[in-house]
Amino acid sequence: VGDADALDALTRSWTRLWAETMRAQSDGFRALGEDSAEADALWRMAEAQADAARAMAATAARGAASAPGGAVLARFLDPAQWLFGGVGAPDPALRRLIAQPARQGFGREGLDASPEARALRRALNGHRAMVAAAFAEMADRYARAVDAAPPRTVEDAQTLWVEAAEALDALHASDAFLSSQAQVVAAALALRAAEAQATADWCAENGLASRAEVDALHRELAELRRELRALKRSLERP
Amino acid sequence: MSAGPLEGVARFWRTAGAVGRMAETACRYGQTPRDPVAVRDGATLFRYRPTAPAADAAPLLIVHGLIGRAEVVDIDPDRSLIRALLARGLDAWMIHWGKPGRADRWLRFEDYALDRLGGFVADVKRETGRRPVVMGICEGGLFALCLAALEPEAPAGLVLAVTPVDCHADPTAGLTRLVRSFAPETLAGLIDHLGGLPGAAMGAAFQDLTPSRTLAKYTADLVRIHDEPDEIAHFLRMERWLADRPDHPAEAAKQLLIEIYHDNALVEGRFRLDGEPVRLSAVHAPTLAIWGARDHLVPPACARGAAGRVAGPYREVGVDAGHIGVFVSRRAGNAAAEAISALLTDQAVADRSRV
Repeated sequence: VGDADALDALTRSWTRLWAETMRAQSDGFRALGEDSAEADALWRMAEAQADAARAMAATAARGAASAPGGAVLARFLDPAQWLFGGVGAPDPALRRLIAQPARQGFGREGLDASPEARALRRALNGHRAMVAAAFAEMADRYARAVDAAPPRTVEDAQTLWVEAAEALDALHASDAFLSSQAQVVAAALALRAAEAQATADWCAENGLASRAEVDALHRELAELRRELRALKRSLERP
Repeated sequence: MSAGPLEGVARFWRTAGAVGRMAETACRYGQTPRDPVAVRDGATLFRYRPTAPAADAAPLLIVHGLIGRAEVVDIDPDRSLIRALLARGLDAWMIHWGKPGRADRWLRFEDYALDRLGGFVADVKRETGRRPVVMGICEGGLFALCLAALEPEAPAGLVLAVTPVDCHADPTAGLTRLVRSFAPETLAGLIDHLGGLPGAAMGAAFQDLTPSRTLAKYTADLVRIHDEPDEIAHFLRMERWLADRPDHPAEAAKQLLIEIYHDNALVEGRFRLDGEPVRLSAVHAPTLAIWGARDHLVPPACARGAAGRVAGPYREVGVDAGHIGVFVSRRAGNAAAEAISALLTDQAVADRSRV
């Protein structure tokens, strides 16, 4: 182990393995962007795999002595952090926003085949194609960098990986990405509105208050309190 | 001899060990002693305990927006802006907005800027006999500007720290481009659907602006500091502060994102509270703007938007730091503390401060 040449050879073999793995995945990343049932299934599988990896990392981090230490450790140990540029752990509220509708319950039967659900799937596929192309570019950049100057340490390899991730920065800053993202959100909101209407109808049929009715009550309360404070202020003025 | 990958792998595990072992008590922020003085609708006014003989200066009331907690000025005991101000004999106060829930979704800028902030300004005046200088951080600076525009006599002065005043001043700004990529009705629909802006979703959006920085932060940067316990503790305090980001009430979020960010209504004189236009030209209080040269969330051009628009004396200080670094970097914090101290002890401000 003390032999420098042997260690360097080991370093090179590991980094080349990583680079070749990344390069080999390029086609896969591109396939994820295709508008097909297979690509959709591949995305779902990739998401499930990432979820499982995060869950395992979180379990490993549960023994941390502090709450932020546990959260950071879960992220640090998450393989996606090291292998996929840290992308792929979206906020739960945003994941729910773009999720397909529940197939049954609360009057939502059939919504998964609605025009709104189809429009969201189309918008998501277009957006994923863009993200997949950036992942492929990231993998290619990394492989090219390793070919040009093989890193001698894990830290050097990590630096090259972070530099390769600038492909994602460029993507996220592009007009095309912002526009595609806005289309996904608009399509998701249309689907969520259809879902909310179906649920509200179901609530009305079953004599329950809907979300909109509860919100309206909160609104009235907030306005009454605002008026009361204004009245108090005017009474306090000399 | 090259340590090769073996040393790298060892560092990886040492990093995990250092993070996992860090004690809960070492990861707490906001530890400077303070006392609650008043409560308004779930928001609390705190006064910091003095640590030095009192200076002849206006009191300072610190208010953050709802995109983070005001304790950003007190993350680390050894590089706390609050402690630096207290050491100068200044009288520091802070508003803590509490934890808005879904029932608070109808709260608007009017409720925060005029009612609550205005009420707390009156509380400080009553307690000290002096009008405070209001230091608004980020969105808190917008609250402070609105109050100073509509009730010009309320604050003795303003500090606008990393405040997004002119949101269209830098067309390359990532956050502005992100907000403007959505149609106003999409933004409104998104906020309505989410019942506000969840703190975690805002955090994810900020991180997504620069994926490579986020990647480096949780991997290479962390490994680099694995044998520096103070740096690991600082890292974890920051993470706790970020995780404590409150949910932003919906109606106020629409005003912020649609009117101020998307439409730039504040600098264009179209922003209204309670039906009254918020005119920056009505701000007569001496104003200090603090901005970070490397702030990618509120770039310098955006944070300097009050220049030439407010009627009162205007000064500014730029520090070589990012949005949060303005408050947590030792060098930047000293520069900020110096500038704030100079404003609070300025004769014109001291005179305005006296009731």
